[in-house]
Amino acid sequence: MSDTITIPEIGTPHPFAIETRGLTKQFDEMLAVDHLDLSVTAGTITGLLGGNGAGKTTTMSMLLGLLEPTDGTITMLGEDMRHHRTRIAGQINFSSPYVDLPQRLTVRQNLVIYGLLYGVEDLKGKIAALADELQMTAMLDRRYGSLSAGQKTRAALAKSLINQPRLLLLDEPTASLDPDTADWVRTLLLQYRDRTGATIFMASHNMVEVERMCDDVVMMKQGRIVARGTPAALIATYGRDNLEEVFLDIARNRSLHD
Amino acid sequence: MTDAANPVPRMLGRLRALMLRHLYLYMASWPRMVEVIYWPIVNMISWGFTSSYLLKKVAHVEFVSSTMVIGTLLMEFFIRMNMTMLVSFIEEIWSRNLGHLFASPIGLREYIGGITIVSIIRVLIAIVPAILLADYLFGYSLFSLGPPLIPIVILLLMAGAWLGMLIVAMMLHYGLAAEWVAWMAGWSFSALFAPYYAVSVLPPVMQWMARALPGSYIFDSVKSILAGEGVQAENLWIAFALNLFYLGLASWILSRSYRSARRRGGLIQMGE
Repeated sequence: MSDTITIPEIGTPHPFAIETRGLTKQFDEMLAVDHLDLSVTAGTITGLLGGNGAGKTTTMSMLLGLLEPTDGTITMLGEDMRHHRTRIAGQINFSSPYVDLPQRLTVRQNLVIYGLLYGVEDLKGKIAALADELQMTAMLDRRYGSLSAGQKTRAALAKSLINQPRLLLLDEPTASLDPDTADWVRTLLLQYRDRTGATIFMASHNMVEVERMCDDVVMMKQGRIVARGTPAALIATYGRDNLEEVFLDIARNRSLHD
Repeated sequence: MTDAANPVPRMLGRLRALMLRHLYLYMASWPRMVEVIYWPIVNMISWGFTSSYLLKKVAHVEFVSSTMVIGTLLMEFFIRMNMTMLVSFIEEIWSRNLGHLFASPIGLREYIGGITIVSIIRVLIAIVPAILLADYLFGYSLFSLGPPLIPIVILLLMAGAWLGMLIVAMMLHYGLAAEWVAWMAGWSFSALFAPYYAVSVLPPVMQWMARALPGSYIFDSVKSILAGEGVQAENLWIAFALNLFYLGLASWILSRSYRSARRRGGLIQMGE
């Protein structure tokens, strides 16, 4: 893989890229996120795991400012999300299967628009470098809607990296990708983190991916954190062979000594 | 570089991004471009031929005929303005792009400012062919209104903008379920604007409603000019004041609706 993007060493004076205190989201009768206290160390890759309805996407949406918490605080990159959303938003980015890019626009046009929205300088050069990095130069002038699932994932990833985010939020980054492309995406994300010191916070159902990529894993269930640690530590704690078995233990309410 | 260090260029960049977003869309879709100029021309032509027929059949009907054609052209500024704002917003729902937009540094005010600018440009592009055709086919020139044409057009665009903001607020709150109401909103107001007739012909309740809207005052002035009785500047000032009031009200409703959408998760999963 080429290494053509020159990304400055950003670094961060804050020990945590994400800090939530008592973060709560209630939809009518349903408590989606329940007093979440979460600290994500800057420069790490942290995985957010949980079954369907565990509160992962709700948490991600609150971190992005797309969903207003019912209660609690969010501090991102050392700044209060409630008062500095615009400033924070310029330094983070995200990719999610729940949102899309305009289908009729070309990949390049989408990147120009989001580059301008995020205030990216030397946008033309940045798009060329990203296209080279993501091996998508040939599809830059194709309509986003005409791309295959794998190509769309690359384009969405390019959008999420257009502003060299200090914090990258990813929801199922390799969903619907073939194993080869998924592996390629993982490698790219690891290289991005190593090169820039950025923090990556990702929700995933792919336990192999989480084991390979994440320094830290947060397991959620019914809106709460029920387990946390490095993949190896969680596997050891639950006495299992891999993270998938740990996940099943937690999802099926098996206790540690079952 | 942070946003705080360079706020104005960053904001202009975001507005440029929104304009490009819609420019690219129209460049990529010729049917959209056709639709832009189609309805103003069709409306103008149908009213133009009706006027021509009346001129041949009824004596002393010149004023009625010119009111029909000029009124139709002016109403297009209002109707197309609010509809274009609706289309600009609904395109983001159709493409599931709202989440990307509102997670970026853009704020609601910038977003509305952006689609307002896009809409004004699109309205002007849409109506110019109809204005030229009205002059060529029927001999009625919008420019016959003279200098007051400028404030009249601005006031109609303002009215279209606040209605567009209210429509966006309604869509944010109710999602695509409110789409059919959104499409007809502008036409519902057109009867109360009284572009072709005097407000006094309306039933009393509708007269009261018409007088609460800027359009009735704007078209009173238009009819006065066409009748050779001058511009009725006081009516344009009343329309301006009403527009300011409704712009303030629409801004307030829109910000509440946006906040409500953020509470309910509407920015991520907007649909029926």
